[in-house]
Amino acid sequence: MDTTISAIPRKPKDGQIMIEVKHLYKSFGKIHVLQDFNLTLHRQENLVVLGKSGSGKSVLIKCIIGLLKPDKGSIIVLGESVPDLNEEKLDQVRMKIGFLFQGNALYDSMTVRENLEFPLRRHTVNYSQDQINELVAEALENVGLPHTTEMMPSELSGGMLKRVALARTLILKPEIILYDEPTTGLDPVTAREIDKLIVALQKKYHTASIIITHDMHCVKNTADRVALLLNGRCYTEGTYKELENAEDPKIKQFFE
Amino acid sequence: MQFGTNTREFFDQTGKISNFAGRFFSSVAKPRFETAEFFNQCFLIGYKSLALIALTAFIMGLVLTMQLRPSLVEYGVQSQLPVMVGIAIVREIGPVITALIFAGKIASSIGAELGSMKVTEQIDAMDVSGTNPYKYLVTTRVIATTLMLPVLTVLGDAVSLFGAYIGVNIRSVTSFQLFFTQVFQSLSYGDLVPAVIKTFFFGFAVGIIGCYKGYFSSKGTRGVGSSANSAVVLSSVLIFVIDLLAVQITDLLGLN
Repeated sequence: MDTTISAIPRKPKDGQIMIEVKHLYKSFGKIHVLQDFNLTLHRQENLVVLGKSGSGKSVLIKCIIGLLKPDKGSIIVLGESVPDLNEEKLDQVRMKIGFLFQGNALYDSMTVRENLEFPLRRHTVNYSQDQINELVAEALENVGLPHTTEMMPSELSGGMLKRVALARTLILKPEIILYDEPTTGLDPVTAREIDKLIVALQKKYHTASIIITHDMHCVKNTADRVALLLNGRCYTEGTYKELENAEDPKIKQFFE
Repeated sequence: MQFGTNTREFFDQTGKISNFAGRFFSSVAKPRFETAEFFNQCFLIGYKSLALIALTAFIMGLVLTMQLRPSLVEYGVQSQLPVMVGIAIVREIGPVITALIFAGKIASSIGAELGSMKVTEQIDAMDVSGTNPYKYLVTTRVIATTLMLPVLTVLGDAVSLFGAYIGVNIRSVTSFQLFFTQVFQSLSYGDLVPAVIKTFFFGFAVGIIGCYKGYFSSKGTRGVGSSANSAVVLSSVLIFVIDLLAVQITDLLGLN
């Protein structure tokens, strides 16, 4: 698999809209986290949502996946309005979306194999044991950890945990992947390896992704397009180069 | 003002717990049933509690006999000791003490386990992969606690009666056969059946409260500790409330 990072910023792709967020509002008590937030994700696009810690980036993707209910606004994912879906339909949409948690969220009482098998065994498609074994092996091969199947999460390093979590995210072959701070807490070398993996997996599976981060190296390495989240709104968007050359001090502060 | 807030909180919590318990019945009726996890929970909840229940039951039977003897000797009816101890253990003390020990061990463990899963986003991870965490985590545990507590109670009663037999023989000599003949002659189905039936409700309460407190645990280590603690307190209180109701019902049915 080609894991090199393209030095040239990729252009935003036109085409089918995978996610469309319009006029999104979300508050927690008196704290207004998202206010009139708008965002569009196209097929096979890596969109990075950049923002300071606590700016509401994670809240945004949790609203998109239906873990949080927005106060106002629309979230259309793969043609379905997420806030209006019942539990059953929401589960069907979620099977087409992968979500990489900031803390990995691996099931700590299960082995790596069991972690990966968990969504497969509960999928609407009845996979045979051979198919499950193949999918698990392929997912672990993709992240470079084919030898970890029988290990417990507690036996893995931070970087390995992130890779296994990514493998679990990929196991259902999602059309969209949401990454919540994929490089936070990792050393720079491992973080860059994760960046490469994100790009390589996008190329291999042609997924569309939203990557939430404040790590500028990650932004540079993975973004086709960058949306800047400031004060609950999408302040600006463009390619990494466009934002890097911007004169606006509110944008510049992220690149200094 | 404080009284008003507490009352509102009480009814708010009661409503939420009732809703959570109601979800159990709708969830249990839908396929698929998590058979492997159910048997795993039966092993962890039932088999792993056996030694603790047996030990406490034995001591309880022994101590109860030793405490009752002086009073009976005073009235010259020490020959009725096996009868009194047998009825007390089977009808009331056995089920309630076993349920309280069970609540202390199981409600806290479920509360802490699910609370920890909540805090580390493992429950959210199940949710976003389109699987039903309620079915996997809650339904299996609640069925296991509901079925295992009656089994443990019957075994605990048997061990407790053996403890009582030892207690009787500390100060006098009574044959094993005579002791148990006296015990069983004094007992009827009206003593045994309601006592066992109420333990199903005790088990259900322990499971639901443990799961509820863990499932909605607040963030942080303090949240997990608080979930475990309040699961034990609330399930213990509920055991007494259910016991009170059970006594009233058996009284109304003329079984007392």
